[in-house]
Amino acid sequence: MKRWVARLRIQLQRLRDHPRWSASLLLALLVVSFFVSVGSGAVEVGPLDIPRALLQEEHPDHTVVADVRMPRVAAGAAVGAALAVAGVLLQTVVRNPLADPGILGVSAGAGLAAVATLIFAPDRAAWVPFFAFLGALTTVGLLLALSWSRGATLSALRLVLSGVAVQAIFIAAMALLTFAFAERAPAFAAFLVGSLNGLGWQDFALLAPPTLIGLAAAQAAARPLDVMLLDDATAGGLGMSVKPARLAASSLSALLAAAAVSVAGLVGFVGLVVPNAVRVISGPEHSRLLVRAALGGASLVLLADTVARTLIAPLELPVGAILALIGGPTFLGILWKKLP
Amino acid sequence: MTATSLEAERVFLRHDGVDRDAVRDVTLRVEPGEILALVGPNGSGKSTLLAGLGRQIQPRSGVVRFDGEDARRIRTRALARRMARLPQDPACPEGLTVDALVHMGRHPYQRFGHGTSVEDERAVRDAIVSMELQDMRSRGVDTLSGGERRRAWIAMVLAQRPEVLLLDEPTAALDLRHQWQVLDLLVQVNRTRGTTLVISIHDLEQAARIADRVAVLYRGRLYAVGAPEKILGEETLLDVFGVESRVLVEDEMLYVRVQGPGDPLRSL
Repeated sequence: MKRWVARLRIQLQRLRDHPRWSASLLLALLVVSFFVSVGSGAVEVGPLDIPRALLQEEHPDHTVVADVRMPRVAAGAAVGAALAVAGVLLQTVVRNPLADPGILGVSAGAGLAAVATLIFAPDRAAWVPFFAFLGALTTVGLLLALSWSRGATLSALRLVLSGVAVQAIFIAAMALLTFAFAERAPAFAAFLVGSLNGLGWQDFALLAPPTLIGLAAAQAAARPLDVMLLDDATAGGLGMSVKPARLAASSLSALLAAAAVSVAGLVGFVGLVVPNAVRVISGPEHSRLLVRAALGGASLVLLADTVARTLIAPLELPVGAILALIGGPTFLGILWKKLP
Repeated sequence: MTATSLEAERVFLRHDGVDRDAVRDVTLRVEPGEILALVGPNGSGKSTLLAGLGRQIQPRSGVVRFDGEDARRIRTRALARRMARLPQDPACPEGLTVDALVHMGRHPYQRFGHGTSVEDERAVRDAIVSMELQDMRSRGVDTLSGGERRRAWIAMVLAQRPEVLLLDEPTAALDLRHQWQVLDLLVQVNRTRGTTLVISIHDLEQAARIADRVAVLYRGRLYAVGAPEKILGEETLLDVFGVESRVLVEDEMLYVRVQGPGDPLRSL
């Protein structure tokens, strides 16, 4: 098994020399995921029927496809892309493949801010992503402060443990709030695991702008992000002001994670699984990695959500649970490989 | 390319979280276009002095002047276009190719969101050719041998097109052939481009061979500086390294034969 995995990895790494192939492959995966996700459910719609159902209002499946599944799929793809790129950015900032907005509590920080907004200012629902962003940003700042021991480089152990502690505190605060204000709070269980259930176009409208801005800004910063992969002394010698650069990249990561959390709750592990998997076929350079991670993240969330919706239909499971089942073992795998 | 000087004036340097100066009261002028070798025992402050000259550490007191100007006043990016430094063993992300690494040397010239310029590509190509890495451009840096990897890193700092280049033990952990290969390539860079080089190095014979002048550090202080054959005498070696030795100069080559360890005599 181990040898088989190693062999597969080597084969996949050959795709690094053929960047067009790896991009096409991931794009094809996203297209397939799209058709599978839109087509599956209580009403099955064939791939050829989907465009017709979408465009012709008299089509029997028009409502299901255009008003129920399409917004959910669009939001799911955006959530996946945002979380995957947020993961890439965090991993670059802390130079550690274990970083993920979920694991480090950044999503929980965004979630706490979002829940608090919904409870204390229920008429300001449109502001949720903004406050979630502030929550995520504060968490990132806190983490960096906690895990950068003075003068030295960042310690992976400190980082992950700080993340665990920070996350526990935020989730406890969220639990207290939702119990105290049960009548106004969102569905806590679904929010905590992360779910796309019942998302509509208005959710997508909330999610799309910060996601697009975040993705575009990250892509524009691909080269400075590459330089951040080097150690601080070397990056400084190349003319990079390391601390402001790190702050900018983690803010971008917080923006993307917060956008995803505001509509889907604490969807975890996408930012961990996708960048680590995509790096095998793209290499560490951001100009290639970011785009492919976005495609891969969108596909993963769509496929996981399809499983969540259809596994024990008509009951809809939260997508976060399915993702955690994939992500948990991945996390352990990386931990096993990286730590002595 | 214009040759550029670098000066330290009464510089004291210490690392974060340490309450002792690693470099004390060093005044040193690196002349434009010269090769200066920094030698001295482990812990004598060579790396720290290089970090101070390269503005990686700010002096606790004293001034570092780049081309006559206080280095603190020069913006980080502007300085990186004129001065490059290479730490001893920089960490390289897994899977990064030689080509990508050398391209990073162009970072100080690149504007945010803009593509790679013709000038960038030319500098990268020149750097790769001068370090003889043409056949390894698409290889991962982590798959190279020690000597090749060192050359890849040097190519990165050469792509910066620096006027002054600071290198911390560029030959450490290399076998004899690769040590000379790296040093030869560096001397060529100095001859063809007029790049001022400051190199910390352990091998005294190598230091004497490539350097115009040698600066000897001992316990954080500058013990002596000058032409190699004048500075690297038996007395210096006994004082600084605590070894009895015979030093021979023949056909402008310096040979050191170490006879055995003694005790450092003078505390400075």
